[in-house]
Amino acid sequence: MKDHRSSRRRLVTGLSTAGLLTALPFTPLTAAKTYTPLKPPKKPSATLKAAPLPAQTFAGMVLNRLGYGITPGFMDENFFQGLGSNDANRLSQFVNQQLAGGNDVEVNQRINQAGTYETLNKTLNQLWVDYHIDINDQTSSSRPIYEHMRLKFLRSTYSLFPLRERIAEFWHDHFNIYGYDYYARSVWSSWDRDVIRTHMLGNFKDFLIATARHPAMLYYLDNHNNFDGDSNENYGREMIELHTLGVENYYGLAQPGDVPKIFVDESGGAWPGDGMIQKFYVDNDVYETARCLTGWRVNDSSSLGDTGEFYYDNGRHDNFAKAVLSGGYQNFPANKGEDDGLKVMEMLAYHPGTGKHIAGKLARAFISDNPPQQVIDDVAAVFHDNRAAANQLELVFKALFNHAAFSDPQYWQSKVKRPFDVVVSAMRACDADFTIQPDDGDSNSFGYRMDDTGHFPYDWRPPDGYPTDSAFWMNSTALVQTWKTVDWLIDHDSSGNTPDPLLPILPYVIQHFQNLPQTQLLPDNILSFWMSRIFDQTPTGGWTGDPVFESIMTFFLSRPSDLAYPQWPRSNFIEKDQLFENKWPYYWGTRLRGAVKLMIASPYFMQR
Amino acid sequence: MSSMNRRKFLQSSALLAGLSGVKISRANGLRSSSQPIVIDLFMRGGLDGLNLVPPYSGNNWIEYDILRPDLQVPKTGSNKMLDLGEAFGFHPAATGFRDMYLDGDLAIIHGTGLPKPLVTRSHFDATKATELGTPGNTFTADGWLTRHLQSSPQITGAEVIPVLVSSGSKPLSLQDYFNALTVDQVSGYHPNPGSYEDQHVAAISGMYAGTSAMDQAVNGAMDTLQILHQLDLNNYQPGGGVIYPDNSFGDQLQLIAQLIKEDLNVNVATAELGGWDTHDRQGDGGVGTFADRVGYLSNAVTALWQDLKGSGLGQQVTIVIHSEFGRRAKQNGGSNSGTDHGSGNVMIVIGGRVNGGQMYGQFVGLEQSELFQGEDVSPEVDYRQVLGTIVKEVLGNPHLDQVFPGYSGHQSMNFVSSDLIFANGFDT
Repeated sequence: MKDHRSSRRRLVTGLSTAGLLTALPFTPLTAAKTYTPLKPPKKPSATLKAAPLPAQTFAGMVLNRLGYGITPGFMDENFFQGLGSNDANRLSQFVNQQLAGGNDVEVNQRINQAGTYETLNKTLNQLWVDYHIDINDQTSSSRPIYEHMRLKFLRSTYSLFPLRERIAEFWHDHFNIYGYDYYARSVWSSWDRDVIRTHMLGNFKDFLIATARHPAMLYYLDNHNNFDGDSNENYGREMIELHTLGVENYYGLAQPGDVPKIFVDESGGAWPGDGMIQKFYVDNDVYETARCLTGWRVNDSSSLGDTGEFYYDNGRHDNFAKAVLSGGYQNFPANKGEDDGLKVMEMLAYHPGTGKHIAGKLARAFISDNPPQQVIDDVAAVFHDNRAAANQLELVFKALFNHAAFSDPQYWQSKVKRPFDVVVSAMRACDADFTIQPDDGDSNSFGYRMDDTGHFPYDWRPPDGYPTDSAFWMNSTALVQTWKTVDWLIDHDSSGNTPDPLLPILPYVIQHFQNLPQTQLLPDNILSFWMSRIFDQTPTGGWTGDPVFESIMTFFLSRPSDLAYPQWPRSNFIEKDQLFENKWPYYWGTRLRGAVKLMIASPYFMQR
Repeated sequence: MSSMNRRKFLQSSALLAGLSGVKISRANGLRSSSQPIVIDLFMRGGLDGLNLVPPYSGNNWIEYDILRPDLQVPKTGSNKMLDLGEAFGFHPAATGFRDMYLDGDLAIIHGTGLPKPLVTRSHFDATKATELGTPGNTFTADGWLTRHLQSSPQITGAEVIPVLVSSGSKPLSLQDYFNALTVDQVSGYHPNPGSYEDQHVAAISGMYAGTSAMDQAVNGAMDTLQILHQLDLNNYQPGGGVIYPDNSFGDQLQLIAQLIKEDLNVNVATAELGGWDTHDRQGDGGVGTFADRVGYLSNAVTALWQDLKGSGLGQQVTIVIHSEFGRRAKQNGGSNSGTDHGSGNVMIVIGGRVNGGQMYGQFVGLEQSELFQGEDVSPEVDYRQVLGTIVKEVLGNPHLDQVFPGYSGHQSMNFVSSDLIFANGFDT
């Protein structure tokens, strides 16, 4: 019998959790490990929430919101307690450690072991040549996006730095591109690596410019087709409306001169000399921004070398003067060429409205659908004050996660997990040993089911990205298909010579109970064992009587379909071979798997 | 309250199924409900109404020819505009729409949109304004269909499934309504299927026994799958010998027809279709991306209508097709170009109660001075006037002040035949 406590970690042989993580910047542990149970969260003001996990631990809260939940024996209460002397200290240390990143050992080992990830390390030009230009049949290959749609599961399930995965997910949604878009699909490895991950903790203006110069974005929002005299405003509009100021700062079709102004402490570039700029944008700013971006295109013609890289085409650029956010005054003089685009992005990135827009999105993604205004204002201030700093976004995230509103129990478990989050956190909580990878039958089967949830990574077509709003995901399709995906994971054995359950539900029970007296195999003990494993905490006095637990118990003790057999009495123990070998007529193994599916479908698991 | 009725339905139908050993075919037995039904089809991305229903003749055609030299629907050749005997024609891919128009089942309303002072060319603002039904306020908590369902005297609370969303997610028009049947496919729609599936569903319901939105959503999901499980949806025979297009939109619309015919007292059904944001490579000569999309839309909707009409449900059903805005009158480049976001647009209404085969609305013209802000087909008709006419005269809900708060001075668009107007004593 394999030791399932270490099965998932067998890839990282020789390295303990502490060993992996102490390689990172780390303050010395304090000896104190006193653990005081928290008071139950206050009743939420919003009415969206179903019954929350009672007395959720601080560690559980942090790992569910800043990671993809608990990973038993690895990233759990014990691990978190070791990070510092009090919750605030531990949270701060966790954030520092996660943002710093490092060698993601298990992810890298699984990628190598899979051997089917071939596009990850190619440069933009290599990707373009290998997958976009295809002399033979003139169709581009989607191999890179195909690999990344699977890699996102692998990384999120096995990363030592799940917070970095969540942050990458946030920015992929923010600068959303439909993965199968014509150019994007062939160069996705570069978009993910060179743009999103390179800049996700860096400077926002640099980030914005990097998105604007990437072929995936240039094609997706049509700027490759934005010419002098025939300007295509699609990208200009979305850059303002989605990527920077946000539609909350839209003043409609008013004339620029009618928009209220604010003072900004900026100079040079396109900033008006008196420092007065429009507080909001109007349609004219969209047109003028689009003009600033004319000529920004992809080197995608053979006469230019067809490198797939960014190409500024001065012959396509509108070189007349322009006015953006200036009340109509032409703050972009004529004949500045490529600099128009760089300057307009500086104005947008440094505008105070952009900080507010992004701070609001962050608070709604990481704290609550209705976060307090104070955290938005405070994070927006950090965003704006550090607008020129190389580590601006790192500072922004630290301000957000260490903010009092983040730790305020009234906002705990107030968001519904999105389908991707449910599935990945179930794989972590159940200690999955399943490398989702290209060209693999099990991964294909998994993919078909995941696709039905409506939340496959990089599969959102419009440019606004997958919603984070809980209400969007509270519909029968998303809920049922997500649970069906988890069902499949729990019921499925790996293909190959030595089939093992992808999620070892029964093996953990066998391991726990096999050396205990058979009389310990009581229904309450069996289900309590898995409840405590999945939720990484046990209520004072045990699970018996907890309403979710009792609903699952009723299921567990259902009368067999063979009516010759009675309903199992709760006070009777179950014989080992009946359970361990899933024997007729009670099929305890099947019931156990059903019970764990219910734990995952429960409001305790579905909310973060 | 409606979930209580679902519970009752589930209990009684389970009993029936248990006794007879066969799946029931109609939830309410043989009694056919006469409940009016609106099917709201939202076109995401900004459908180019000027190319769906382009000018066919006169000065408008001359201006159209100037504005869209590389994108226009041609007047001649194998992909020429479909002649309706009007000053406007249909895109050549919209043969189904043309047929419904000539049959008198389809009405075209041109020059519709958000009220002029509140026009926005942002997808997200315009979608919210349209679907929430409160132009100028994008923070409204509920959608216009939610408020219709809450205010309509035709909704008695006895309905099994008053709201059906044939899609993976719910539209904003149903925001704050958590009890819709939301489904995009019926096969295999059950968690943990097998010996203990009913107990599994019971346990999920037991874990979500509260009254929060999440509790409601989960219980709605459990009801959905039980209802789907009990209905015989696998051997569907559409009415009128119709064959639906074999694509996802065709599947979505077929599911609407199937569930309407199960007589679950559906009052509102919705589906949506994207792919209309044609900034680039919109297509020329009546072919290309936009043409493909129009064919995709027209063929599926035509199948839906012929199915329902052929099943005797034509008088009960009204289909409305609309989008968040129209596109700019002028193309945004040369060949291979497209059109940017605009405002005024076309709306299409189909139904047995609709006085079709006619054009409604107001098309001011395409000269520079006639275009809204010199750019768009002018949105002369508040889209709420069109929806309001449907709500009041077809759905029999007189409470437009609640469905569209802030909208006043409603006047009928007169596309509902007067002899068919809801005769329940409401003002007509």
